[in-house]
Amino acid sequence: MSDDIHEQPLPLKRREFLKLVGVATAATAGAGCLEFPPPNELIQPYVTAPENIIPGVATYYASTCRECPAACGLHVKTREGRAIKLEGNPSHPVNLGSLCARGQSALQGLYNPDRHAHPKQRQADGSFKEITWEEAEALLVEKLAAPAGAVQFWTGQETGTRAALYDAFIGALGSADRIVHEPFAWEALREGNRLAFGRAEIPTYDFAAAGSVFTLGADFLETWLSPVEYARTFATRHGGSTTDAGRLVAFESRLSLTGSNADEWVAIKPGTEALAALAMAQVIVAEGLAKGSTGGLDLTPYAPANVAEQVGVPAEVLVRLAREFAANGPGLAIAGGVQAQSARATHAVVAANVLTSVGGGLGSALHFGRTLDLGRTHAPRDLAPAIERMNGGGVGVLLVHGTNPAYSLPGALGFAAAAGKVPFKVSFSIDPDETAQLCDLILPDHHPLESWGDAQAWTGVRSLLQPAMRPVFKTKSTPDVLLAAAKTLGRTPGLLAAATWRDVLTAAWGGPGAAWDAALAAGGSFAVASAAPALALSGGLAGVGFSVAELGGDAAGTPLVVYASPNMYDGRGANKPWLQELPDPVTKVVWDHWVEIHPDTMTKLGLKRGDHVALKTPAGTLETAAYDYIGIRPDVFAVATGQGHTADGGRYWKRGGNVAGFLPATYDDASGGLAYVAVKTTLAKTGKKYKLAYLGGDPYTGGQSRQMGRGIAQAIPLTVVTGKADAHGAAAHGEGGHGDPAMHKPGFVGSPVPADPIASAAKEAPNSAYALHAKHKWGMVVDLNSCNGCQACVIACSAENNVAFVGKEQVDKGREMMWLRIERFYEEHDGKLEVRHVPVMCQHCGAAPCESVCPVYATYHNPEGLNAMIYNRCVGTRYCSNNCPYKVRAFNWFHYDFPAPLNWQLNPDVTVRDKGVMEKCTFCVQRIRDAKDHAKDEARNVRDGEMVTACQQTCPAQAIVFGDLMDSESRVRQLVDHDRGYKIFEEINTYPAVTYLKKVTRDVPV
Amino acid sequence: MSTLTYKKVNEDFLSLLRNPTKAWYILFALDLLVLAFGAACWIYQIQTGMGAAGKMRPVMWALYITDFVFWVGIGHAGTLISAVLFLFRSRFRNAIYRTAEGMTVFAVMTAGLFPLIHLGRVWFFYWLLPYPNQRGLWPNFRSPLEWDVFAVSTYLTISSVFFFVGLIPDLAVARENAVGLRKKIYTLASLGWRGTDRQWKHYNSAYIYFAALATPLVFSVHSVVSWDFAMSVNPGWHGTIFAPYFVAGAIFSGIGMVITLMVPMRKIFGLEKYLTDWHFDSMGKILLFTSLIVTYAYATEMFMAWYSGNIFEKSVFWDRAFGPVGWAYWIMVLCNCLIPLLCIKKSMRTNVWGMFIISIFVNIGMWFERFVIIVQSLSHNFDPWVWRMYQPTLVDVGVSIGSFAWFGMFFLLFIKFLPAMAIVEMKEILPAPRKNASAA
Repeated sequence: MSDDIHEQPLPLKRREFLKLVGVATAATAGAGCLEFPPPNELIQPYVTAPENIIPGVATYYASTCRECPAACGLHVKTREGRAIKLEGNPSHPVNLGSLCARGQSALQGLYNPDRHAHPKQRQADGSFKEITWEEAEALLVEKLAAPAGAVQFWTGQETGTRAALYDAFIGALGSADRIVHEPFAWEALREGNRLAFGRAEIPTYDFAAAGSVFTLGADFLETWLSPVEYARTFATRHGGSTTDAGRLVAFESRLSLTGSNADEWVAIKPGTEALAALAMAQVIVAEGLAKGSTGGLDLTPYAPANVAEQVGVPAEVLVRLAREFAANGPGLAIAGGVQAQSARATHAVVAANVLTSVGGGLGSALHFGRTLDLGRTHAPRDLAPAIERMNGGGVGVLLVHGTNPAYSLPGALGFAAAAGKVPFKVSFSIDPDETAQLCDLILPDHHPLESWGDAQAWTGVRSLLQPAMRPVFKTKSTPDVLLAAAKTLGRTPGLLAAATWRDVLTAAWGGPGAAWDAALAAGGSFAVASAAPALALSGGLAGVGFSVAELGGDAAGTPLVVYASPNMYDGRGANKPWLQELPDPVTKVVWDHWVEIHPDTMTKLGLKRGDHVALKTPAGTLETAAYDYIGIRPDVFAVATGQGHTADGGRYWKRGGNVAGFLPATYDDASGGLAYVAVKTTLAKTGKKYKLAYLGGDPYTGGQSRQMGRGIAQAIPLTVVTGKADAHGAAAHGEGGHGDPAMHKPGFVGSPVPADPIASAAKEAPNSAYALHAKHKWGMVVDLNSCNGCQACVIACSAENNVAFVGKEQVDKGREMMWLRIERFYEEHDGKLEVRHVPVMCQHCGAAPCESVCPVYATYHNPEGLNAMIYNRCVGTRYCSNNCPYKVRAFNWFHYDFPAPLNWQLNPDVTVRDKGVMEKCTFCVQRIRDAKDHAKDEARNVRDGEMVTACQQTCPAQAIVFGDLMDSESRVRQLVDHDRGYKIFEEINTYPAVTYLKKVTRDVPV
Repeated sequence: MSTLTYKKVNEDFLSLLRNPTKAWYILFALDLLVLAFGAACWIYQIQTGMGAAGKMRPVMWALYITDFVFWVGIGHAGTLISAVLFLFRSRFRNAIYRTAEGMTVFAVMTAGLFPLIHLGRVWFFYWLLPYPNQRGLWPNFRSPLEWDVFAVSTYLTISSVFFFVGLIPDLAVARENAVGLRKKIYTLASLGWRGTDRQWKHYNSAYIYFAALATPLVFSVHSVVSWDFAMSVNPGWHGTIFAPYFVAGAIFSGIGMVITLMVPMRKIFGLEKYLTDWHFDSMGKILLFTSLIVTYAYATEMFMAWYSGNIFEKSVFWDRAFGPVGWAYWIMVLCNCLIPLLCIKKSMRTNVWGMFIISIFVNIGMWFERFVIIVQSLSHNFDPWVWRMYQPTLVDVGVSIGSFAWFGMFFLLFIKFLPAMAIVEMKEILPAPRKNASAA
């Protein structure tokens, strides 16, 4: 097997030519005019087997995720030398084996067909030409040897040894001009904590310890700081079967995924987070309920009655919530996130800290026992001088690595124009991003999965990155390029004397040896500080003048809220088809960008869903599509970051508008962080024809967001769970959010009242049905009380099972292929919106309607209770899908392509399906097989917990449990008879193998 | 039939078989053009995948299965008219049964294409057949689709044989006047028919047996087709009423199609003497009768949806009438329930062109009935999250229109190459004195 895909093909020899002609003729004659699958490839054994590779056996490498600064641990699964799946490192304290959708999609960054495949040099006509590494490095050295001015080095956030190397390099060049730009660097958080606690750091937020969590814009389940960790700790307190369940209230003008998991959503006006927090703190203090100090702050001016109008919420709501916060301690209030990043972002953080303090959360739910190290960054306000240096002509060489300021900085800052004044610009970017397009020389770095490196998550938690495979393209590790350049230039102080980057790294980890080997195997060194030291507010907060953020722009305009896209993040997800096709977790729009507008406002403005509109601010115009979203204040518009790339190189990413680019250059006053919520905007239709593709939403173009009384996502009040009220009473009084009233009629669909004889019978039958199975009966339990709808499972499923992505047009036609989808249903009670997320995959019915109707037995019930699908036997009548009540079968309408090298990611254990075949969730049958094989090798039975489905493996909230229902000790067997358990459409008597546990809605009496 | 003699009957009907006129050729060429377009659509679909047609989740069956059921339904009138009415000795059948039988065979041939066209991997269609193979694999006999394979192929076999048996004496008549290759073919096809008493005796017994054999198939085929839907769990499909409902609908649509075909034939070939008011009156009665049954079925479906209290059923039927494709439902009601009520009046039943127009409405209505049952029910299934309406593409429509051309092609060839009217049976119903006159 040749490892070098760049090998030039040799000129054809006569013999080979004849062979080819023969084969081509035979193929043409055989296939006729029909396009049959490509001809078979040869499968050859290794002549000399590489070390550590056993064909058919996966090798795992521990590494670290670099898709956001949280630094989750990875296990990179490789097969025959190719990385095929990313899973969380179970021993890494940040993520304990889970991984979010973005993290898993790093594979599509690695195998992205649009990556820079080789070094490139800009030609006189502006195009790029491929050059060799020798030429490229010589050019770099030549320019650095005699720069026409100072050298400026822009990098992304680095928390490990790379930062030291970069500093050493730039220092050796006689410059200190290293700029660190990270779009979401949470400057306000550090500054707010500095003001409140005297520590410009990011503390531990322990959601498991918090009885009440009030989030003021912090989308901690999506993008804020360390979402995988927070999703887990939040679920331990708020999800599952805990009876002292914590309570979450979201204060945000636009309902985020995090907000959709809240027990209550309070739609405050944008930029008023600080006042809302202080108002509640005032109530707690005034009523003598405070458990901590106010940091010397006199809260009287912030009494709810005074600020209610500014915040846009009735005073009595703030009073009620304040009492609840105090009563259900310890309380944790968090502020931040892009949605709360206004000109008063730091004040919001300080105010949240005050609220936490009076709510008793300091030292328990919030402490500095371990801090999250997000490295040193430059706040965008501090970038202006650097850009000014470029403009002034003082910069001779610009180096850019791992950041994309031409995209992520406000256009008003003028990065692109300034860069134009620099005589020589070098990009080390792996992607053809906007900044790389500006450069003269592109020296593509390895992808993090091909690189050595390290990162720091919390204090004491250092993670290692190691190459999981040989580089896909002709790229070169940037640290090695820099080391070589330093040597050629003869400037090798300190770190730069090392021969290779790996040597630098090894040295930083104490040199080669047993410790290094152990760290490599473990993925780093994890010394977690577990203490939660006592904490109190520092005094002197009186000096902080809290106020509402003033919004710029047209005074008559509508405030524009910018939030971080959970899929695209700061824009780095945009060229990954998995993340584009993954629906937005709340709106369920795919492959697109949109502005969220309340349905009433839509009507007022004469807009329909999908209308193409232009949003104007003094800094620019953003063209996007209108989407009517029920979860937003009527007087606010909201747009997400991450789309609107303009560089030509990315084939998937030119969609909608770039939000950062069109914002004015305004900053959080205190921290200098970019104010994303900064402006009022006016909206006008552009008149262009446009179409949004989405799931759910209106019934006849794509699904319906209401359950229609069908009991798909069921809920039960907490008071019923804890025995404080009976189901009848609670339902009759409509307390909390628990579904359509129809559901509570006895004998009705999904009735919580056990009066339905069919439902009761179905409850009995599966037990006896287990006995019909040979040795195992696989089953799954999904806890809707833990599930937060983050969709990490969806990507895990697609990665594990080679599920194709189909593109916007096909999704719009209802032809998405995903085997697992999160249905998002809205419930409204007494004007309050409740959102429910339900993961729906094949239910592996005991009496499956799909099985009996397949005329060729392509789908059948296997002896272990799996509803098996034999792709080779399928002729494509699609009857199975028609007869599936859950509509979880996906049909291959076309041959779907994985543009090379994206196809390198395909899991060799799973067939790639071609057109005309039905497919669906298999409960990861290949993983079951694998576990059974292992057990057989060791001459024992499989153990509970050995068979882990891909969705279960990655779930940050641990909402999915899979196992053997015939094993009376298994976890899944314990859970199927849970009080909260129900099956979807139980009354059809399909006996699904998937049991759902009802979501618990909270009714906290005050 | 005052002036008819055996000789005149022979001449009149054999005149249909003379060399086609220019109009026939133009019609035939147009027909082939449309057929070629349909075929091109199908080939394109095979090459690119089923996605070329507008189907998606949840509507995985759409126009093709609609067309399938439509054509199977059309294929019912022939057997009903020839076999059932033969057994009941309804004399009005004699003038129309040959056309109806031809229509049946061609309609079933058309219908039989659709299960192939709608396959995702049509190149493996033979996996649906129980043939011995080294893999030891059999089809799934529990699947209604597998029953379809047998029901439709049995029906095609029996109706073809029945069609052919009925043709034998007439082919012999045609043989007498033909020359050249035609003569050879007719000679071969008439199987040495000489019209002896002995042959007639055997022939009549055989014909009755075939009629008796074909009769239950009239009921079984469409019952089986209806079970494709009724055996599923889908709201809107899962109903015990489906078999009789579909059989009545099939007869209704079949009679409709017979009228649609007979009226222009009668006009073009001047067959007014043979196809009289009496025939149209009788067909009008069947049309009215089956229309009432179908109307009752629609009402029952609606009633049961409400009476059952089942929210899925209630929702799908509410959506059927008042949802976004409610217009299709109301077209169906108008065409199948209201317009055929005109047949209550005898003056309407005997108004040939009036009946023609009614029959066109019936054809449209019955196509929409299948469309509504299949597409609307699927689009509004159990899980609201996946509700979605189907949008046909050019390929769906092209193949559907092509199927009419496919049917038309056979029918045009039929009227030129085979006796489209039953010569012998028409003679049978002539009053006795004329029989003698014909001998001259």
